[in-house]
Amino acid sequence: MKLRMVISFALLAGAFSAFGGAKDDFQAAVKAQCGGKDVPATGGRQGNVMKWKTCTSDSVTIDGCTLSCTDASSKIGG
Amino acid sequence: MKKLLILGMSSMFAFSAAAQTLEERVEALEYAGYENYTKVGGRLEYRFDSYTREIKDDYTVVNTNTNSGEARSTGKQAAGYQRVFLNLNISSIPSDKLSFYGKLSMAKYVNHFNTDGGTSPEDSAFNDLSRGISASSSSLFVERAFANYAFSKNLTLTFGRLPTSHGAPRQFSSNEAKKGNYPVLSFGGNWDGMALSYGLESGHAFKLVYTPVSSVPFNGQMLDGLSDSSGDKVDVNSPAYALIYEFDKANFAGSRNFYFTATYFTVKDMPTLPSSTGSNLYLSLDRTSFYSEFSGIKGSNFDVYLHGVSTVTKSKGGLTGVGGWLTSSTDSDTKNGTAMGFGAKYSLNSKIKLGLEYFTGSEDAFLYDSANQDAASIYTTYGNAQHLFYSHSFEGGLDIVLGHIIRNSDTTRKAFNLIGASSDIDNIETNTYAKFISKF
Repeated sequence: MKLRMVISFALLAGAFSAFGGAKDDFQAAVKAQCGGKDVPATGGRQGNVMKWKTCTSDSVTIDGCTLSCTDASSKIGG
Repeated sequence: MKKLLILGMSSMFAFSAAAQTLEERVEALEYAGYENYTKVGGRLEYRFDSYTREIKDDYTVVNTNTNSGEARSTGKQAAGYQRVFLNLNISSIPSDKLSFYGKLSMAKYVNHFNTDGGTSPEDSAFNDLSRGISASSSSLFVERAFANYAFSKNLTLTFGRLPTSHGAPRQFSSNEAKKGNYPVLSFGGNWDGMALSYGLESGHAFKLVYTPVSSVPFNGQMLDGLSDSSGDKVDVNSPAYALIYEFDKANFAGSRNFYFTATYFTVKDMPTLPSSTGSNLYLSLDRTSFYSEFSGIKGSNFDVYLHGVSTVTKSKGGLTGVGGWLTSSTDSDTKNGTAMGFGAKYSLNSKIKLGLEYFTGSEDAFLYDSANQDAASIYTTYGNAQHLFYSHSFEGGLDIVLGHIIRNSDTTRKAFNLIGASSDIDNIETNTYAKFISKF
């Protein structure tokens, strides 16, 4: 049981750290494009991170900051 | 005591239930993680076009199917079209080194009953009502299918059917992210091939793309290959390359986001209609183009772009009764041409944008966009063209784009607008359109 719990927590940690990648990308984009404005990296399907990650327009405005959107399926080399 | 015992047992059940829930939750997350590395999304567009063409001087073109001349007489014509475009996008990222992107596409006139006729059920009248239902063919159209393999953080190998169509500035008026890696003036179309990309953290990227053109005999004579009308053997593969430099950076050159790309595209001795009995025509083409976009200039709501191309077209041989590439000669000839344009748009707010584009192309430029969906494409104009547009994004995933294009053409050629002697013309085309776009 202990081993299972350890594995379970490790998997959970893995899941959260996977989300951390998207969050890190979002924070880097805000830092580069929002001129020092603080835009919180809120989680969830309707959160700011996913708003930017799933954006298909040329840009998305979140809390007064406009971020450019990219489409990896339209780029050689990803 | 009894109460304590019941409480203790309840607690034990509660804990075991919680443990089980946690385990199930982890398992669900694990499976979700496995499933999520492949995603399907898409884009659906319903489009209305109202097109007019006014011919002020008579001229003649050649129908390459019948090899006969067709007169274009003075007068004004008008037509209205309704079309549906569907893209199903597939992305799969099975590891941190490998990613795959695919696009299955459909493009059609609505309820198209008068198909050309043929022997298969696919070609019969009224077949449009049962496409994909009747047992007629296994067709699915693959617009894109490519894999990226990252050898390192900087170096990536890409191969497959590459994301080269619908390039910049096609996205500019439709309020979308960039839709293709070859700008329209570099080449508009889908290319199969391989590419090596080298990208830097600073925003610079270099790409070498290899996309040979195949001339494959489908008559069973694989070893004999094809021969042109002079009896010379046609190479199965003609080399074509693109060398791309890109620079993409936020807060640069006075804009919120700056993008620049320079592309050199070349194809050598590409056979033209090699299965035709009357062709010994070959094309060697060099196109050097740039595209530069400034988003949010000086903190304003203005976005602008500039683009241009210089082309060198070397024609060898000819098509009987038509001529060579950009020339009447059926021997050999070289033509140089240029084209350029710009666009600007203003965001009234985060949902509404207004803009315009201008384009001009010289008589001997090689302008081509096989992925064009406009009834009058401004980026292939021999003369000048203007485009006004309005886009409105509605909350939750609907975009409506309205536009009006005016195209003044003063040169044409006998076939495909690119082969044969040039003729002076005076055509004015207009296209008013409405696009309803949902991305999902």
